[in-house]
Amino acid sequence: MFLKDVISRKKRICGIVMAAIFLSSCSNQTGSEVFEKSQSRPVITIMAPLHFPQGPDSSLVQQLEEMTGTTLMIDWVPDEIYTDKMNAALTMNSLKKATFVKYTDYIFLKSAIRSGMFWEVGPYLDEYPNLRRLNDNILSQTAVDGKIYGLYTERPSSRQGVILREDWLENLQLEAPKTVDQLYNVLKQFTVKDPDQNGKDDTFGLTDRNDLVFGAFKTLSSYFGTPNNWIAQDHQIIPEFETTQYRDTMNFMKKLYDEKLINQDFVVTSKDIQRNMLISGKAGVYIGSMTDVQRLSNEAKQFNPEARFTVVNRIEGPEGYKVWSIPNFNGLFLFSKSAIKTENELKQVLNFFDRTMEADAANLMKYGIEGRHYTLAGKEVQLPVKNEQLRIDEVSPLYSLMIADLSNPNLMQVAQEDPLLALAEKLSVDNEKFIVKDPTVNLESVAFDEHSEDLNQIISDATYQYILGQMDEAGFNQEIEKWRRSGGEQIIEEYTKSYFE
Amino acid sequence: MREVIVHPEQVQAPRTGSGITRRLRRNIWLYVMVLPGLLYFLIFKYAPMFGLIIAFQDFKPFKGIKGSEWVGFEHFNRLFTEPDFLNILSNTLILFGFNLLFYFPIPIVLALMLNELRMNSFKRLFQTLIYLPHFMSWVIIVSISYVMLTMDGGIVNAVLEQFGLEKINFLLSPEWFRPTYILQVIWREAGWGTIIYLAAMAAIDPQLYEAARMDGAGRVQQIWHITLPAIRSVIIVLLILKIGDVLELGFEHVYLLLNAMNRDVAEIIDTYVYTAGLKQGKFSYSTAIGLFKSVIGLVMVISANKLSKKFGSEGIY
Repeated sequence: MFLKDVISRKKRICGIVMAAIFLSSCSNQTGSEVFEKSQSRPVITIMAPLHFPQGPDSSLVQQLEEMTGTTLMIDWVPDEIYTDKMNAALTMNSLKKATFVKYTDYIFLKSAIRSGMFWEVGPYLDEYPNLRRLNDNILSQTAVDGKIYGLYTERPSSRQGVILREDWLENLQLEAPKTVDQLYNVLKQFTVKDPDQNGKDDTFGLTDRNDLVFGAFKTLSSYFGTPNNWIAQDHQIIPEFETTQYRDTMNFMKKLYDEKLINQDFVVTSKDIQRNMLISGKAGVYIGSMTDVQRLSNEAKQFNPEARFTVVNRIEGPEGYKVWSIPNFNGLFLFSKSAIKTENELKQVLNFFDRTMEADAANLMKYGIEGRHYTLAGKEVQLPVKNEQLRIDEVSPLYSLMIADLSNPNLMQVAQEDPLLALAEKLSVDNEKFIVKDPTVNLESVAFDEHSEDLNQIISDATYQYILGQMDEAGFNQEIEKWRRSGGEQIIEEYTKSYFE
Repeated sequence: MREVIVHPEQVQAPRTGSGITRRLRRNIWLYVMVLPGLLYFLIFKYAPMFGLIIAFQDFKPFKGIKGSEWVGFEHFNRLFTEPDFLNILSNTLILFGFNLLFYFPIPIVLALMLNELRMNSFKRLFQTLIYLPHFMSWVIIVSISYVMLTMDGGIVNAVLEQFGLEKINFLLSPEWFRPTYILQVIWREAGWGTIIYLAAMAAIDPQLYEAARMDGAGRVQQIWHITLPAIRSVIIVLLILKIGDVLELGFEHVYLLLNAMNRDVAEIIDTYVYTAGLKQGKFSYSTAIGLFKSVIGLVMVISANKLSKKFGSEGIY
């Protein structure tokens, strides 16, 4: 009995062990299979910014891997810390094969590029059916010493315009402004009259934030005819803040501030608070990117269902219609030589980006999966409002990986159902007719690459102090002198040399 | 004969060696326990110090420390000839002076007050409550202050208006930067700072108080003649440590308060390192400034320590 017991126990243990071995060998097999499969496909490592709370849905990434025949390892870094992370990766030489660089950070990388840290991709582009069609003009905007190192993500030249409360205009029987004076009048009426008709003096005109470029200031300065950062004049490149038009803009802002037509704390106001003042009905005018109108309007309607908005892009100033523009790239993918050792590997990576411009991959990255994220009406894409959250959660992050999407003919068109957004898009196109370009975009200045940050700060501090009345014209001129002494002079020289050669 | 002549050192050497190993073997577990701490300091505090040499180089990340060019004291030259340098240094020192003058005594006073509380439950509750702000990040504290102090609907200005006073632009006026800064420091850190003082007070022999009461000493006299002298050495140690931190004013805090209007008084060395150095990828320059800062801190600690020894107290070493 006892012996039998032991034997049976032994048998049972044996069985368990056998099963375990069998199972483990099984799992081993599938493991190596997956491994082999991924081995055969080239691995593409990418570092890209994430503008949403979470990365894209893994099934979409998987589909993209299938389409492009690659294994993707994407490092999604939250946008707020992207610059720091990228700098850290650069410092520690741990860049991915393809690393996205924002155009605002690009100038700081130029010395790294010149030292040969990245592959020059220009000569290879012609080998690829889609990459060869990249816009030469935009490529040249990204060039360093005339050589092309990156694949750009595209954006329109100028979306700047004025967003205002249509219902407030109607309550006060005002027209949408067409000139700078009319714009001032609207701001004034919105403040002193009672545009929301609640019997209280609780509104003001313009909501602005702590940003002289993407806030209201630079767009207003265009209306006054200020050049875009620099102007080539009398055989010299001159900075915008030495022009009279810049002074006019400062005086205009000063008037707005003194008469309390603008939020009094705009120097320290964040974008969220700025938007909130428009959304909650405290302010009636927002100057900035016109395409923001859709989200602003949706959010404002939750506060007050009566709130209606309109968009204006043509504000005539002393020199007619003008609006500043930005380079047509949002950023670009650079290819690190420490991550990509051979030319062959580089070609695999370029091949991936080329493949993402084909119809199937491009539409997947932009719109998601048909039926789940969008529906088709004829050849146009319809984006139902009820799926919006799903699109944001699953598809939208992938947009960071799309190169040259605006001019990509393989992408389907969207049937526009939101009239405000349609209007904003239309006006953005209209802006193209009178954009003011920055003449220095393609110019080289080592001093600018090195000192732009502290030099900009001198001028932006002085501009704020002038607007708030803590500095007079003489003081502002002194600050310009300081700017020139601290390296500005050198930048002017280098730009002038580079421009007139 | 040979065996007889032995040099004293030769005898000494093996003996000390065996002495060390014997001591090591006897206290082996103590040494094992020390090991993690030792490693921590070696790996995270001492090893990175070799990186300081980039302060004397024109460091380029992709060339590495070996490949970068040596430039001697060029970065220090640039720092000392920077037109804003004196202003930044004096801002830093003034802010430090504020810290020492207005913040440092407050935890001591708070601890004395807490110590006098009779009801233990109330004391605990109060202690916990004043610790809380310490666990909030500066971002939150600065944002709360922003909401309270803003001109457009901030509660402080609303109250001022109610009383017929003029609105004050706290956030944008240079005069208000230092008071705002120090009030925020006090609000966040004062409670937390009491911990060590309270611990020191708990160690005072109660017999001393009993004896004092027998001699007819009142509450204030007890504090003055017993409590304060008893925690004197703790106060001095903390003061020296604080002085060592002379240039550590909290980058995050100051950076959040900094704006175009108050930069003249609010730019300190830490924020300058960030805007002029790190943001533009000038690692060598940033390191040079950091090194300069540490040297000042070291000089301050040593002199404060010497001073306290001169006055008959114990230093920190």
